[in-house]
Amino acid sequence: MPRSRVVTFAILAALVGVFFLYAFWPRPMLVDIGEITQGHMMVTIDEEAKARVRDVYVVSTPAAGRLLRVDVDPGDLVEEGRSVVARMLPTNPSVLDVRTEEQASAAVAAAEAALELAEAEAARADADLALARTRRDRFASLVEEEAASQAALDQADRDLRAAAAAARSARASIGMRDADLRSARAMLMDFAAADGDAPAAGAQPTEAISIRAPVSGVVLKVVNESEVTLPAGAEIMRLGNPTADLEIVAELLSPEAVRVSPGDAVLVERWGGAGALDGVVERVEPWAFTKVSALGVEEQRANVIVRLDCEQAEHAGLGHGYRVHVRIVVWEKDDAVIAPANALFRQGDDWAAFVVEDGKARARIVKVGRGNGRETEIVEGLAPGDEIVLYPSDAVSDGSSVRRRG
Amino acid sequence: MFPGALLDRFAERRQAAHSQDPDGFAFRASGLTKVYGDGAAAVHALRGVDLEVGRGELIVLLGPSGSGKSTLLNILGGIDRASAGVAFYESAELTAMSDRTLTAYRRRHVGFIFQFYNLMPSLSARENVDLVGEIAADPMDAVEALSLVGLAERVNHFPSELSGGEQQRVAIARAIAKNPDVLFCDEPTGALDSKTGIEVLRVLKDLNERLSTTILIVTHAAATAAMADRVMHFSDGRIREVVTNESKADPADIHW
Amino acid sequence: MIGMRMKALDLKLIRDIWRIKGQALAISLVQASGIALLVMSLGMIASLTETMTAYYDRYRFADIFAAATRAPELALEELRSIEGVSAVEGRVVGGGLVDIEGVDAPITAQFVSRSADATAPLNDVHIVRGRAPDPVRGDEILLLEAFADAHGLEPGDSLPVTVYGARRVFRIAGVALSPEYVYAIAPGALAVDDDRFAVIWASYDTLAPAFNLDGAFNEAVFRLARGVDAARVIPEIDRILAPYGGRGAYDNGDQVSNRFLSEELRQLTAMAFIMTPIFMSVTIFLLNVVISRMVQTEREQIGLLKSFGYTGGEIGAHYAKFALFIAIVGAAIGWLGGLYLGRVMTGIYQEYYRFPFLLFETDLRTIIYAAGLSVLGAGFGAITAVRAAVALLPAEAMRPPAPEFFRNAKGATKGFSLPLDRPTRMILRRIARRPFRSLALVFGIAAAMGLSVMMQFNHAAINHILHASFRVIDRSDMTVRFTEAIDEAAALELSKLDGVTHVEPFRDAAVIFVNGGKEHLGSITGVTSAPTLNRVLDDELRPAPVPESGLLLSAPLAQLLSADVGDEIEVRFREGRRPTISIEIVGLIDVMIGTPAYMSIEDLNARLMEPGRVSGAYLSVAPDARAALQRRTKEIPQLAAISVREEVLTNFEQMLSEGPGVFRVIMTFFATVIAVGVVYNGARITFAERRHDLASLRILGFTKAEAGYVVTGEIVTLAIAALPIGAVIGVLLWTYISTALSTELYQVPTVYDPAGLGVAGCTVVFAALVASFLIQKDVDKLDMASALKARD
Repeated sequence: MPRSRVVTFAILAALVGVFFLYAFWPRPMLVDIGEITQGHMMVTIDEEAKARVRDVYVVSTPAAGRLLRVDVDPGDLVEEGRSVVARMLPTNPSVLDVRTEEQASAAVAAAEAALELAEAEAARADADLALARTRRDRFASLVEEEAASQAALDQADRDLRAAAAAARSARASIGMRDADLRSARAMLMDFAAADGDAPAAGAQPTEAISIRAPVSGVVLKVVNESEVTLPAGAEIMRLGNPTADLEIVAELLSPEAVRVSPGDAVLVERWGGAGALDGVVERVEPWAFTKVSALGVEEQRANVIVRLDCEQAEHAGLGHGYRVHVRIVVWEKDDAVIAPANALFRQGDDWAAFVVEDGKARARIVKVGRGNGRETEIVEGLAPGDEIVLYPSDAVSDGSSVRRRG
Repeated sequence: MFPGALLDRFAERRQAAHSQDPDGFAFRASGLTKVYGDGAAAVHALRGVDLEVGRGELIVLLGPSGSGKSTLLNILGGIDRASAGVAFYESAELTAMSDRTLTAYRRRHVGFIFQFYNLMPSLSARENVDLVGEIAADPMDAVEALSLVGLAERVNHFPSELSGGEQQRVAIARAIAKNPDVLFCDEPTGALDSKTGIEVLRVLKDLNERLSTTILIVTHAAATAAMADRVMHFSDGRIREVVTNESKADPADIHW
Repeated sequence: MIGMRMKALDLKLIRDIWRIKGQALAISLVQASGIALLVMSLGMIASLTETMTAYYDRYRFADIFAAATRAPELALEELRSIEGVSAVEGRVVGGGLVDIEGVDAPITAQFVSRSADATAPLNDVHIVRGRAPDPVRGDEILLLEAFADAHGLEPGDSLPVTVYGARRVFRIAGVALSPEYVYAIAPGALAVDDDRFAVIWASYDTLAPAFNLDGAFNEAVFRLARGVDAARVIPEIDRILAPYGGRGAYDNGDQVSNRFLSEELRQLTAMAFIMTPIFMSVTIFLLNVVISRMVQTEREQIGLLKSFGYTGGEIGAHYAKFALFIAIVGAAIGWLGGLYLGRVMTGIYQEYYRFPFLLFETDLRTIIYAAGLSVLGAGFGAITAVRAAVALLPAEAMRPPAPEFFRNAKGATKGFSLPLDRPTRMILRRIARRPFRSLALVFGIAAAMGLSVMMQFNHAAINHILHASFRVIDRSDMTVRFTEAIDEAAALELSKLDGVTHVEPFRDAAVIFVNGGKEHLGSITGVTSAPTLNRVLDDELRPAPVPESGLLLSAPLAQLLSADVGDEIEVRFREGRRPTISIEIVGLIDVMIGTPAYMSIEDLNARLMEPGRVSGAYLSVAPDARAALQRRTKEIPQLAAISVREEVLTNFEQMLSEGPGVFRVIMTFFATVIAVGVVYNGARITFAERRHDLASLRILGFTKAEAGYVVTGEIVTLAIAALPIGAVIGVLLWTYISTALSTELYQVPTVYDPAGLGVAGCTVVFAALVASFLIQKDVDKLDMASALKARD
């Protein structure tokens, strides 16, 4: 074949070759590329939590009585010992009906009658005592004249002593009946007072008892606001100090609670204000309880109490029962070598990642430490600044040409 | 060689046509010129040719290749056009005819025989003859035409199964089957051996004599000239001389 | 022999065609490809449409669906009396779970009630196996055939389910199909997943108490009288059902199965009506080119016939018959082939859609037009060639073409004074001498290659969609959906499940978008502010920032609503308290799949006045924990559905490869046939034209290979020249088509895959090499003497 034809063939083949090279040249795959960084990384346990005032004071009725309408509202500031938070009337004229009034009148009449009877009894007892004395004195003079027996004198002594006792008893009975009468009269007097009459003479005027705040803080919740008759010990309101006395309670799943220790740092987020609040785990309660989760599953949970570790002014506005989100730091490191978790994949028993070197992906085995779902600590195999392929698909393999997407 | 009755009929028709214009020429040409291409590469095939051909004449055009004889044949046969000059067939001016009229002219009056037979390879001998017969007004039956040229036993053979001479004879049968007034033959024996060539020439002579067919034969074999009425010598696009034969030789006597 | 003998010219025609039978067949096949494609696709579409329409008619597919929270049976009377309604039924529908042994994931079920006494029920079922449930037995049900087949369940088997939180065991009385579930897609899913979604028909008396709807219904279905416009009836229905928690009635255009079906048919129609004309145009063009060249090789014969006195008309008719014969044979092959393929394709679709019967239809009129066009094209090619030859004087026509007139025209041939050997120069000069002829052939090859390129790009585009959707946009391992929008603490809980490494919640809200007169049933997805597991990306896969407030609409959706950035559109929520809110469109993005709308989840929740709600979450799961997690999720009551990305991808791939995929394969095949046919014909024609020259070369002493080189070299050169042009044509075709093929369900991306160019190019080069090989064999067999003498 003449040389010119060889040249022609070569040129044609070259042209065809160029076409097919262009067509089939493996183009770099588009991938997302991330970087290994070094810095702060932490593993946290996240949970929904609630803020609560540590010490909630319950203001309750000191005695049975009528609670007057409560004027304070939740949120009002109160001062210990000075702010009056509630007032009550100690008695209880709550049932103001005719039958009771009649009964009270009858009780007075009965008491009066009983007193009269007691006085009559006392008069009789006195008379019996005078007679008994006279008899004893006569018998005593008779014994001296040996006109009567010693036995008769003893009898007369005994009679005298009996009569004296009866007289004392009668006297006591009068006192008792007198007290009854006074009491009955007092009850009747209250009716009169309730009816708007002038208090009966001898009756005591009733005054409202002021109940003062036992502690400085704010009113958290008013349980009984309206005027109502309450027994003793009934709850009126709750007080507390959310600014100074706030803590966070999180209900952790028991396996998570195991991993938390007092002293762990906590980030309190989504509390409604700017930024995250700092907190510290104060204690982990050892008692777990059953609770149905939002997903409808029954789980064992334990309370973890978090103390807020910041200035009071920083968490102003956070109240009792407010919902927050806590992240309890169970592990952190300041100079961890961090890889995005999605870049790592399993290769046999090891973890690996694709490092981008000169436009090619190279598989590299790595040793990993802790991971928090988004970031994974790299112990060995990658260095800060290395570029790695994120979310490597099956199409990426060792030696593939890759290019940054976008 | 020719069955009498059939040809008598054809002969009668021709004579009837000739008697209408007894003094007319079959062909007349004046100043025929043909140039191919232009500029420096122009080829002057004909340089002003004048001639007259009488009815029933057998003319042989002689000359070396490139002398223009085939070109003249083509123009007179209506398969080529002159660049300049006029030509007449009978009283019709060929050079002024449209393509359609030329086609009609060829269809009714002309038969062609080419050097390289030009048979349709996909048709048998008989079908090749039919091809032309089907457009003729009053054609000869194909088998008859083939038997006229001595190929009665080969009517159903295909050109690839025929020898060169046989193929040429089929071409002749094809040409004569429509009983043309004029028969143009371009190197009819050029590709044949002497024996076959003689036979072909004999057929032509027969036609000319029996049917008064005007025949123009182009050849470069000078010996053929002996059987013509007149011989036109061509050279370089012109007719150098026209020679009239006193007596026409028999093809068998021609040696080349 | 038949009494009347055929005319010689016709005999020649028949024998000539037989002589070039290989070539004629190749041309016929080229044409048949175009017609077969047309017949097949039109037949398939007509059949599917007819079947679908008949299916809907015979089984009384409802025209309007209206859901409510709880409507009393009395309401049906009022609904029935609406003008235009010809039938209405109330039924109980609800979700639940199916428990299949051995399957780790929750299987969603849709329960639908049937009343046993209705004579002509709406949305009727077709029982494939088994029998209708016995009205006396309350535990008998009908099961969707696709699901039953996927799990090998038969009538008589029992089926444990969870309905409204309560476990029950049903008995399968029969296996059925329904026009309502031709496409059985679970709510929120993207593709059909036969073994994860069951449809269960039970009696009203069984379901109503189970869903706490005794004496009531929660969905009404309607059939309208002929010619009644659904848009007039729907407001009436909404008015009547409003007090019962009516969620907005919609017509069956928005019913999930029908919508998918309609979209797929629409895409098939688009493919058919856009691509087949392109194929047809190319084949007609090729026919024209090829036949015209073939007739040109008959130049000398034409001259000869003319010299005999055949008129131009007679000669033209002869060659027209030649072209017509080839064209008609091609059309016939195409038609029969198309009918057969159409049946095969319809059968494939039938297995996939599970119609209970199949109707075959052919769109005769269009096919006749198409066949007529291609015949005309062929005839036109023949006639123009004949006219050119007939216009010549016979002497010129019969003149052997060599030596052709070669001038140093304007230095065009000067370039060939390069050190090239003579045969190569012959090739190049010949190409340069008749530039239009060569160009026509190059263009023909390029056009055929363009078809192949177009199909390759199509294939690449589908892969691109899949890759983008399931490897770039969705990077989650699993997606879970809750039974309803619940507190976000649920998402937090998910992160505590074994193996879950990251959770990204989202909130879906079913809505109706309204803008002026345009309405669209869709949903809004509320996403977190910087999503990583399932991102909001535009069609160039760049992250689109989710606005803090307002709607981010996908461009196709905006187009459907005739809305633009800055417009405020009305959003009618179909869940919860069903408020109607005006929301501003703050951004548009181009997307690939579906017509999504995005908002920030906080914004969405705030507008709905339901802060902190989520309806599902995307999860990333450690690989070893996946199976265990799937099992675990079965036991979580609030989880309605989980889908695993890998499985969805597989399903989607399957869905795209069945049906439309087979169609594409057939089209690619035809494109290849056309390309090969054109190259082969071009080679044969060149050979025929050059026989004389070849013989001369051989006589001169050139070897067979060297002589053959003259022809094969030309063919290979033209084929190589066609490569870049074919690439350009393919790119243009694809650019035009990818827009036209896009539907509401997915946008076909206009991406150009260079490898596709390579594959198509390979076809052309391969065809050229094969043709060269065959031509070389003919050169070897060349009978030099006859080639020199004979003029054909």
